[in-house]
Amino acid sequence: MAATTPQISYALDWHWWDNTESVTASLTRRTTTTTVTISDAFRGDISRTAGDVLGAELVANSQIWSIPASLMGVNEFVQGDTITDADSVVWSVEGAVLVTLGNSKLYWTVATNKRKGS
Amino acid sequence: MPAESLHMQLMEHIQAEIVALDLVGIPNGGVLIQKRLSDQEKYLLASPNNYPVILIAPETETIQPNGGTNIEDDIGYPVSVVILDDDNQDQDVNYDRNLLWRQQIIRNLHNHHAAGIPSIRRLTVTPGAVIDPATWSKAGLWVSSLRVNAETRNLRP
Repeated sequence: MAATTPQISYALDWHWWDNTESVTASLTRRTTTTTVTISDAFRGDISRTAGDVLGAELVANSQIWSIPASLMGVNEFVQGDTITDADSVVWSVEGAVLVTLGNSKLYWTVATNKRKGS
Repeated sequence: MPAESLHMQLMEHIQAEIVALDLVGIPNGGVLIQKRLSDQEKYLLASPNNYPVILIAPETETIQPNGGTNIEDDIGYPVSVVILDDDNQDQDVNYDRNLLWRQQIIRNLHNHHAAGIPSIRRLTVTPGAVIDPATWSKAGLWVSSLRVNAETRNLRP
């Protein structure tokens, strides 16, 4: 027997988040760059790692962001997009996952690296 | 005057040659000699804009057991030269500029003498990767490498 309970949307669960900040996402597709202002982005884990590339030690300052999907509208994150935080630091997107619950699109978990010189 | 190692003289020569090229887009202070190639901020420029940089560091000497003469030994002193730039995976930004840097460095070092270092017979350049694809895709960084080798013939003590 099919469930008859009403379907609940979890898309606005981010309203419960605190300590959010306003950021700007720049999304470049072909020759067009779309800028999306996100009023409530949430900072996650920060990591400092170093890797060896062609004999050189390269340091990565990484930051995880949670971005409400409803504030992104129809836009999506891909590698190479950027997030500019409230302090004008630019973070380059290394990868992104859209967290969903059933039909609800909750938020993007976005792995970023601080741009060199930013 | 204190003795200076051949490796250090060579790295200083390479640094001076690269600086003298006046590569557009990189300040003179962005060409650095290091012990270990590294882009940690504490090693780079004081300016907030740490990139682009060209880093120089020694590699392991090469010795041919039978190289040289009855009284001389042939020893190679290789040096790594790595170009680092942040283009954030942009397929156009700084593309030609960075290739031109690489070209100019090669042309000004390969098959050249090292002025002021008479024990170096010849410099040769072995090109490394023009761009490391994994780092470009993952971190949006242009990492490009060259290897400069100094051929020396040394009178056996």
